[in-house]
Amino acid sequence: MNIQFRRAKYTMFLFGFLFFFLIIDFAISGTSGFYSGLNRLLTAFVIFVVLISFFTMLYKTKKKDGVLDERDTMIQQKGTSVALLCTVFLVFLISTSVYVIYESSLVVPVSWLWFIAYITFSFAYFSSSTLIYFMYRKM
Amino acid sequence: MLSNNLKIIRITNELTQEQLADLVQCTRQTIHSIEKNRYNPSLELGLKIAEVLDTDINDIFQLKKE
Repeated sequence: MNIQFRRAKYTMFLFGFLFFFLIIDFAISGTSGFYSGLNRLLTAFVIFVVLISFFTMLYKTKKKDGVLDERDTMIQQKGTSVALLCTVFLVFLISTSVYVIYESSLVVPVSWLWFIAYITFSFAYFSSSTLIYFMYRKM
Repeated sequence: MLSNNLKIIRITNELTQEQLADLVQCTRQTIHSIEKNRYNPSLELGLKIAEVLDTDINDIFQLKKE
């Protein structure tokens, strides 16, 4: 198991947890509760913990970087390019859904914008690391 | 699709995967993937492997007929 594979595994778990936490949190608290009071603090705390864990993992594995050969480069390029497309599609899907839902009311709750922002970056990391992880396993 | 007999030729030359990887400047995992037919190397890497193993590239890699 090389270091790139290990990093992809840890990133997948960290940002996968964050991605699903945000979805569940938004589903439970709704547009009124997501961006208010205690929920804001909870979301910020979870994001902080995930980011600290991520950067700690990167720092601790820094010295074990080793050789990055053509197979590693190809896997990472494929993983990130497909993840980019998936992320763009996800944002498009959510944005158009929000538009359709609030078309008649003319006002979009600000919680949706925060949700889209958090989901975008967590999904981008989650999808790229998941694709990279499974490509390493396959190859 | 490609097939190869890299493992046989490597063992004949008394090299481990790691030793071969070091000689051609790639990772041991890449050599392992090539031997398992899970990864097709680039032309450059294929030629480097052939050069290190002192054999023709066509002796290592063949087109798999479907």
